[in-house]
Amino acid sequence: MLLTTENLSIGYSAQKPVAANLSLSLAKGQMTSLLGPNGVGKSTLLRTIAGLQPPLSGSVTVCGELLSAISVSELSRRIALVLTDKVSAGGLTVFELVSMGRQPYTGFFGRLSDSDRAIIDQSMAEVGIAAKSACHVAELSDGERQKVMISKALAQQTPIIILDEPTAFLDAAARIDVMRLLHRLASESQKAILLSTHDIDVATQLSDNLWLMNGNGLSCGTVVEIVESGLLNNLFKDSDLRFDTTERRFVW
Amino acid sequence: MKVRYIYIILSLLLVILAVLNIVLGSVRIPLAAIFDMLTGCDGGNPTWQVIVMQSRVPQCVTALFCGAALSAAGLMLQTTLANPLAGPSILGITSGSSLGVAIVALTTGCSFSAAGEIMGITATVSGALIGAFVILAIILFLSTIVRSNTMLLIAGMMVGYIATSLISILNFFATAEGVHSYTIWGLGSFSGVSLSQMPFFVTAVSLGLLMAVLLIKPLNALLLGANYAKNIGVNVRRVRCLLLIATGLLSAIVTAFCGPVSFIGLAVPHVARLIVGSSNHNVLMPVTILTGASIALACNLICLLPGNAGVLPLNAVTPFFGAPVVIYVIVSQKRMRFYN
Repeated sequence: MLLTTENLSIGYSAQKPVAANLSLSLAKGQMTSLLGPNGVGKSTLLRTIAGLQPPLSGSVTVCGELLSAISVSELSRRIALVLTDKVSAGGLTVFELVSMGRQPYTGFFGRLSDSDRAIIDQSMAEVGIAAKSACHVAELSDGERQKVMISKALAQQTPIIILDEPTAFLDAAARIDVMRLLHRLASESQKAILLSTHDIDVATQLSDNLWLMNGNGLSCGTVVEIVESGLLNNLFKDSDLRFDTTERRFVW
Repeated sequence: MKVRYIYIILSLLLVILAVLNIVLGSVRIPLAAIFDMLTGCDGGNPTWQVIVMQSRVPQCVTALFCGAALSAAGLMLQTTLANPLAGPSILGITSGSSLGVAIVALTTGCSFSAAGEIMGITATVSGALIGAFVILAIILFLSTIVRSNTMLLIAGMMVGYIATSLISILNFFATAEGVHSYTIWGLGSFSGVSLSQMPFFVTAVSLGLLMAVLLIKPLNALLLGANYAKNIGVNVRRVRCLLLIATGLLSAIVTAFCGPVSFIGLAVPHVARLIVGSSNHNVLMPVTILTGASIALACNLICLLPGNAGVLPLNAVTPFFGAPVVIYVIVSQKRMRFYN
């Protein structure tokens, strides 16, 4: 297991935790999708696991070490992130932005070695953005930008990649494109990939595992286990949507 | 390749402007005589000697370092706060310096604008530094509570308003001489650094510029925002502190000696982005420093235009160059791409 949590409570105040007693794990070579309605705390969970905000209680273990004991620079070589944050990097070229992923490895002035450049080129090629290498980020479509950020995460060469809603704002083709790309990266590069998404049908087709978060806690399992358990019916509590286990989509 | 040409052209421009600053002035001095003086030979005419060595050369060096300092400070603030309208004055740092200077000037009544009054100048500089760093301490404290860069910017502006209003209250109770000398200082000028103060001024500004250059790598990371920066190994809190200290040092030193110089810190980083066509600090920081020095020298030349009639106040000149640049950048959607 590359990442495990033990009795993890997340949120902003101990009186009202967003979620409590989470014991989760991410395995090498597997893609895990975190599903749940808006505002249930998916982003909070991802940020806590990634070390961007402290847990209320419990612990996160990354590659055998407690998250709280790992330095910022060491963590940047273990977990790479793709977030929903606004990026004001329109004035950088795609190459320059992807090269940020090498910052954990470069020296004081960030000078890129030949091997750094090779890794950046390869990261761009893997997500299919190499042709845009010299373009400014401002010229790209939302889908292309998302691929650039994923490429940056690849350039970090971490065993774990965590993505917060990587398919938001993308059109149908780009969504499936990004999800297939992540699926391929997990199996080919043997990375542990965790992402949150609202594309439940694509997630059930391409993920290995699902984490369901619905306000009452978190259930996890393989896609088959989750789908057959009927738990997806309870995902949206106040809605009459049902999940059709044979068609693998919501019906009403 | 292209970048090398930019460096060469800007350096040439800088040298030409520096030479013009030494050659031009209300008194005509032959080029040959100036060359003799600068190379250490006897220039002959002692009046010329005084004009060149004690007025024009210090003024030229001051303008050069002021422009570089304010521009570097402006770039650091714009990147740290992810805001194209940030400048050294925006976080209240310049206002803090002004308040420090006002307290010194208006309470002691000493006229620091007159050259030679070493005590007055020392007090002014101390006032500006203390003022800037008090405001900086408040901003640093606020930055631990306020997470959002925009909110921090607004908080800084509010702190600046309080400082400005304190200055007005001080002015109300001050003597006429005190108000006069404070007002003169407030107009801005590159002639405030005498030859004896030059080593301190140059050292302090160089220290700030060195910090700016050493922070290039984390500045690039901050373009992606604090969370991404942290995820690629940047200790965001420490880098923010260092950036604010460098910015504070640069703006306080300049404000103490030259008054609250407007617009250079805000506009030059934009000019540099237009020249380079990139927001990569590896190139942007050196180009900003070079451009800032050149533009300050150009502004100083424009101040000298009235010739025998006197010298224009610096703050009457800088907005003419700065404000159109800022408006152009805001209006032109294509230029705004650096922020999206």
